[in-house]
Amino acid sequence: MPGKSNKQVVKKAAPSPAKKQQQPTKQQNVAVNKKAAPSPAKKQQQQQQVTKKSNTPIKNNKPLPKKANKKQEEEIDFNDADLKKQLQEMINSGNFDDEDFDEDEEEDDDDQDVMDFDDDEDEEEFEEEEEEEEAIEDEEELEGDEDEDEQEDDDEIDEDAEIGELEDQLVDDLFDEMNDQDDEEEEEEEEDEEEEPPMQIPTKKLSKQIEMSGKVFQGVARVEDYLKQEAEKPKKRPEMIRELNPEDELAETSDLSADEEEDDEEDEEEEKEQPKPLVNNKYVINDREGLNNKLRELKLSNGKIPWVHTLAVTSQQSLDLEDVHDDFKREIAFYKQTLHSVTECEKLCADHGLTVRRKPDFFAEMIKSDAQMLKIKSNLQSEKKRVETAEAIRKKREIKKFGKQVQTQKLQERQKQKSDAIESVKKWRKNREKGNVSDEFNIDLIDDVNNNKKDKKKVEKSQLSQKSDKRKKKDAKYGFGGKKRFAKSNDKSSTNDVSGFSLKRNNEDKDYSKGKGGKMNKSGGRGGGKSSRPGKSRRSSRK
Amino acid sequence: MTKPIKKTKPVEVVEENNEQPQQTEQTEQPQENPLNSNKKEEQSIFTKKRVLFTSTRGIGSKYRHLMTDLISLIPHSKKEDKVDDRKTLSLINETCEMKSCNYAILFDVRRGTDCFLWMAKTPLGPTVKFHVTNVHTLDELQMTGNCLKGSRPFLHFDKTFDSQPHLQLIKELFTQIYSTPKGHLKSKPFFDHVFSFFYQDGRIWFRNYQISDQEFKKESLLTEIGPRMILNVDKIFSEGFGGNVLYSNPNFVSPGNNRSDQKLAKANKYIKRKYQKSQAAERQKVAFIEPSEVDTLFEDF
Repeated sequence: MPGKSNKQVVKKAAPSPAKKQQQPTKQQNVAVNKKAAPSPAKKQQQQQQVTKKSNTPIKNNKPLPKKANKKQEEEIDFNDADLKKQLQEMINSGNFDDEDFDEDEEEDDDDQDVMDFDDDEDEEEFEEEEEEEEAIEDEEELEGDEDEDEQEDDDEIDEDAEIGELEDQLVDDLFDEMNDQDDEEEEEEEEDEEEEPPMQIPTKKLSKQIEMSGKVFQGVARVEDYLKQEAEKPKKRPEMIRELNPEDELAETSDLSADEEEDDEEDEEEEKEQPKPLVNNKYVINDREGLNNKLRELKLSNGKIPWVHTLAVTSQQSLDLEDVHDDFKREIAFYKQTLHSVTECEKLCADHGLTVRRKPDFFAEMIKSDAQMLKIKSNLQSEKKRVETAEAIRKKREIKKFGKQVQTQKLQERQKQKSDAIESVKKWRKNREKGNVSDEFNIDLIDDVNNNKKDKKKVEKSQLSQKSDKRKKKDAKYGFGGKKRFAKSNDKSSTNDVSGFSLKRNNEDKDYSKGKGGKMNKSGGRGGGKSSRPGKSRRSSRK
Repeated sequence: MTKPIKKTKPVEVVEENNEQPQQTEQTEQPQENPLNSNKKEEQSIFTKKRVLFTSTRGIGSKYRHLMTDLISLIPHSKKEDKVDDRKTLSLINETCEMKSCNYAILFDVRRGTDCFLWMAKTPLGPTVKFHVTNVHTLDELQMTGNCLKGSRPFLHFDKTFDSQPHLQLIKELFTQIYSTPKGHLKSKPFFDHVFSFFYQDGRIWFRNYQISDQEFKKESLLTEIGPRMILNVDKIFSEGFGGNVLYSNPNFVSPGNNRSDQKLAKANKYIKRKYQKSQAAERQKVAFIEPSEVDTLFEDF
C-alpha cells in the first residue's frame, strides 16, 4: 500500500488550520502526544507546508478526493528526477508499479461505486480541485529554491512511509541507512493517522476503512454480487404477477374446447386461492359459476327454443385470421363464414316450411329509403366514372409516349427529303456548270430551294385549293398582295397609255342620229353608249 | 303511475290479438297435435318481447344515428326518452316495466366521444356493458345493401362464442334481443338479411348482410347493409343495470386511459432521449482509460 501514507499526509494537511487549532483542546490522544514529542523539527516542516497551502486562496473544507491525490503522487514521483533515480530499482522490480496500479483500479472502482449516487456537479468539483492542486504544486516548485532541503526531506519521508507499508526488505535496507530516525517517527505517524480519521470526519470513515482493511477486492466482488442480486429482485416481482397472468389469459382467450375443462378446474382452484388477481391495475373477475347460473336463468324454456323463433346459427368453422387489422382478408373471412351459415339457414327454413325469398310482386318499406338508395347508386356510378376517367387519362398518357416516337419518325423523314432535295440541286448545278440546259423540273427545284420551307407549304396549299374564277377576277381588279400604295395613282406609263380611249365613244355627242340622246350623253359622258335601263314607271309596270 | 300502465296495456292486448292468427297460419303442423294449448303458451314466451332503446344525454349525432338504425332494424323495439342521471341507471328497470319491455339497450355516451352500450334483460339481468368503437351507420354510401323493414334476420355467431361462459351468456342475450319474434306485427315473412357476430381480437364484431340471389349461381350473394360496429366487453353484471360483477374484461382499457397512454407515449420521447444522453455520458466516463506509466517510460531515456 504505497500510496496510502502519502495521501493521508496530504489529506491531513489539507484541512489543517482549523484542525491544528482544535488539536490542543479536543485531541488528548496519546498518539498525538507521541507525534508531537519526538520530532519538533518535523512538525515545523509540516507546518511550513501547511502554511504554504493555506496561503493559496483555496478552501479545502471538503475531503480531498482520492483520485486527485493519486495523480498528485504520480506527478511528484515523476517530477523529481533525483527521486526517480532512487526509485528506479523499485520501478524496475515491478512491485511498486503493479501494486500501485492495482490499487488505482480498486480505488477507481470504489469511487465509482460511491459516485454512482452522486451528481455530475461533484465530479466537476473533483476536476477543479485537481487543477487547483496542480497549481499548488507548481507554486511549491517555484518556491522550492528556498525550501529545497525541507521539501526533499518531506518527499523522502513520504517515500519512507510508502516503503514501510510495502514491507519490502530491500527497500527498507536502502532507506534505513539514510534515515533511521525518520522511520520510527513515521511509523508513529501512521499510527496517529490510523486513529485520527474517525475523530476528524465521520463521513469519510466508510471509504477509508475499505481502503485500510485491504479487502477492497473482496468488497468489490461482494458489491457486484449484491448489485446482481438487486438487479434480479425487481424482475422477480413481475414474475409473481406473471405466474397468475398467463393462465388467466389462456383461460380467457383459449378457443380450444378440449382444454376448456382443465382450464376451468384450474381457474376455480385459483379463484379459491386468490380470488381477485390484479391485471392492468384492475381486479379480474371471472365468476364462471355465476355466469353459468345466469345463463341457465336467461335461457328460455331451458334453451329448448325451436329454431324458428331465434333463427340463430353458430358456425362450426373457425375464422383463421392471422391479422385482424388486415381489412380485406378479415372481411372475406367474415363473408365466407356468414355465407356458409346462410345456406344452412335457408336449408333449415325449407325444412320448417318457411318461404325465404319474397315474391316479385311483394313491395314493402325498406330499411334504406329510395332517396338513400339513389344516392348510393349515384355514388357508385360516379365512382365508376372516376375509375374510367382515370383509366382514360392513363391511356392517353401512354399514347402520348407512343406519339412522340411517331413524331420523331416524321421529322426524320422530312430531314431526309430535305437532304435529298439539296443533293439534287447540287447535281443540277454541276450539270449547269458543264453547260447542259436545265429542265423545267430542275428550275422548279431551284425555286423550291431558294424559297423557304413556309413558301413550299404555301405552294402546296395553293395547289390543293385552287382559286375560284370570281376570286381571280377580284384579285385582278383590286389587287392581291404586293404594294398597295400609289397603285391607283397615275404615272408616266399610265398617262401615255391611251388604250382605254376610243374615238367612237369620245365623239358620241357629235352623233346626231340619236338626237335626244345627245343631251343624256353629255351629262352621263362616261356612262356608255346605250343605256338599256328603262324608266322607273316602265320598270315598275314590268314587275 | 296509473296512466302509463293504462297506456301500455292496450298495446299488449292488440299485439296478442294480432299475433295469434299469424301463428296459426304459419304453424299449421303443430295445430294437429293435442298439446296445442301448451305450445301456444310456450310460444308466447318466445314471441312476447320488447326492447327498450334509450340513451344518456349528450349522445352525439353518430351514435344517435346508430341507435335509430338499430331501432329500424329491430321491429320489436321501443324508443324512450333520454336518461338524465347516469348515476341511477337502475331506474331504467322501472321504465322498462312501465313500457312493458323485457330488454333494454342503453347508449351511454361520455364526453361526446366514448360510447358505452349497455344491453340488459330487465329486471333480473344480466347486463353487459360494451365499449363501442369503429361505428359505421346506415347512412354511409359505402354499404350498398338494402333489406325489407322488419324482415326477420338470421343470426350468425362465430364458433368462439361457445368456448367461454361469458361469451355464451353474451350470445344468448344477443339472440334474445336481436331475433325478431315470429309472427311479430311489424315483421315480414321473408328472410333477406343476416346479423353476424364474430369474436376476434378479444372484441365482438357486428355485421349486417343482405341476402340476395345470384344469377347462374347456387350460392346467394351477400352485400353489406350496415351498421357496423365493434363491441369491446367491459363488464357483465348479474342484474338489470346493477348487481354483482360477474365478469370484468382484464384486457379492457378505458378510452380515457387509452388516450392518456398515447399522450404519455408521446411525452416519454423527450424523457427517453434525455435519459439516453445521460447514460451515454456515464458510459464514456467508464470507457476512459488513464494514461499508464508504461507508455511514457522510454521517452526520457
